[in-house]
Amino acid sequence: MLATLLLLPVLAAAISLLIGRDRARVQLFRVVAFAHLALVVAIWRAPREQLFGGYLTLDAPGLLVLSLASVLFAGVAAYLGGYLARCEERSLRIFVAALLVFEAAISLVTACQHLGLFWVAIEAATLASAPLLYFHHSGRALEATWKYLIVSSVGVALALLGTMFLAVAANDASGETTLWIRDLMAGQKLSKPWLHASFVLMLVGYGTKMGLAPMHAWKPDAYGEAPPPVAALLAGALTSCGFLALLRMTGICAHAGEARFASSLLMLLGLVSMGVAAVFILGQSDYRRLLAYSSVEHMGILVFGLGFGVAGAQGALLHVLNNALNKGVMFLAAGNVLQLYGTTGTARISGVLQRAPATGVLLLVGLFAALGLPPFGLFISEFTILRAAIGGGASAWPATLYLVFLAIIFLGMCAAVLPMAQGEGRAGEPSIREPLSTTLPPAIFALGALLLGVYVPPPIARAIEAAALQLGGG
Amino acid sequence: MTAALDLALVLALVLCVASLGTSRIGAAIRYFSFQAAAVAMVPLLLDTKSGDISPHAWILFAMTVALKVVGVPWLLNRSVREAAVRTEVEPLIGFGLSLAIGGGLIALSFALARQLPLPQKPSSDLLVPVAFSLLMIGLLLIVSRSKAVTQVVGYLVMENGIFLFGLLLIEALPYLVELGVLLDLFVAVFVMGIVIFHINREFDHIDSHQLDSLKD
Repeated sequence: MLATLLLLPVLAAAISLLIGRDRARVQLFRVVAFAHLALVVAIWRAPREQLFGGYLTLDAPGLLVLSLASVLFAGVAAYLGGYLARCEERSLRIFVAALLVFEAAISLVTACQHLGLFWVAIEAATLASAPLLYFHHSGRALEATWKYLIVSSVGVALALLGTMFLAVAANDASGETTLWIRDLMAGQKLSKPWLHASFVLMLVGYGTKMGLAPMHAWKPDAYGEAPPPVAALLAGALTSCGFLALLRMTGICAHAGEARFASSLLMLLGLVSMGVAAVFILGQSDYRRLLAYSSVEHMGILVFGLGFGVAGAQGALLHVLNNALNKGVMFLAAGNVLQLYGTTGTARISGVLQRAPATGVLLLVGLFAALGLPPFGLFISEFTILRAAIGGGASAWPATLYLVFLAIIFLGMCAAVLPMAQGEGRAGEPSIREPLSTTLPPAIFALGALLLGVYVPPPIARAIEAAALQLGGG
Repeated sequence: MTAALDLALVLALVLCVASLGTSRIGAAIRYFSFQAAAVAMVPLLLDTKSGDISPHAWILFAMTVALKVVGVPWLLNRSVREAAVRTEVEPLIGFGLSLAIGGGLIALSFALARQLPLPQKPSSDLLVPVAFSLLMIGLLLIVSRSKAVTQVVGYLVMENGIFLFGLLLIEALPYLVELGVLLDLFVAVFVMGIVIFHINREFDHIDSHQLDSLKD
């Protein structure tokens, strides 16, 4: 089943390059994305399966990230037809093929049990996403694509060096070494200086992929210029892969008895990201760039959570699911706004609720969820992380700063988004009925984020617990 | 063997410094391809337990020659031709200063390599410091040059450094991973080449520092 899951999108990408009609390509993507989702659901029910002698298998954290990615892809696939119908005509040959390869690469990332292979997969995902950014072929999109490519390539190269450092750290007297995650987590003796250096490099490298400050330079441009459905995939799925890498690395550090070293760095980087996001969210004049900084904030919350052991990781794992759904809502709503107004500049948009009620409601729901208001899932996960931070028994500073940044971001986001949704529309603009294909997918994401706030289905709860326990140390 | 190994490593380092000091993009690409040739020799010159060169080392050698010595420079030269750029006109940091900083980075690399003792002594004491030097000088090229092509060369130099470091683990890492890394690198350069081509068509230049309409 796992093999089908990985090969299906690649095969479909090849077909999409061969067939001649764009409508058929979009249809193909839709079919494959939903088939992918069905396979993921089946994998949840089936026993664990290993491929290539265990190189590929889905453990609890991998399965969680795979599921959120699959849900996002399915939602975006349903949305894409309606979105593209209202875009300028452009050949979708490369675009759809790149989307499918991107999905395959992300699925591969979640299944890798060997850190070297993991790196190969995440780099492949980055490269597959580059043509997606450049879809609109404008000068600004080009600039964003270049920044994205060069910054993430350098970041990912540092992560590769970190991976090699880890292999050196695991070198034992006989000259044998390992990059298998299960060996590294099961008492392999690791040399401390090399492990420390490796962790720092991985944090910088995969942190670039996640868009943690100060390595977030590519993010506002990429999310601001990419077509919004693509930005939803980047912000929800690709960043989650970076998180998965750091989760695994933190687990390895914990098992080597270096949890404190890892925690302090994760906490620091988390707070820096939240702080930078808070500064740039205040006074941000473009909705999509605002969302990019909101993503920097939520990535900060994720690594902050990782810094507080098992309890914090539980919050972070729940948060990664919530954040993906929420980014899905917000970017797809942003896509609707972009097509209505031709811009996402906040100053030039008002009265969305009046003009396009469905999108207006989605904007508000997305905002409230992103701010962590109850009863949305993000409230629960942010609260869990806060409890872990206070319960840790260490200094009160991190938890205090965490709350202060959340409060500033709350104000900044409200100030930018509320006037867009409310207010008077321009005179003479009647309210329109939007097609179901562009409102239903984000609405389902929103429902998911709401559901995770009141009820986490038992299999997911068990997977989160199992994944968080990996940080428990040996 | 050690003398030849040291020679290849020193050659790689010298060519790396040379690419830091040149203003012509064509020359920078040529230096890179010579550097890649020197780096490609290294897996063949390493000491092995059995004393023979392993098939693994031969495969690495062949892949490196095919991709880095021939493939990548060809791709880069092509995008330079299409974009009709010859020289790096205004680097953000002057060539003299770049060379001075490069010298400092090499010294730093030797100091760093002493700080991180390896569990097993490598075939040459130069291997790790040269790897770190290439890495840092590559980074310097990326941040200090304004032409997109030169930034790609910087990325490749950095990647060569990581490759050299990876040779420490030649017997421990599976083929799959190494091949994957090389393949990713090639695709990365291919994608970057396409973007450079589009930058040129869009802006009539490939100066990435004029790509500055996006900011807060």
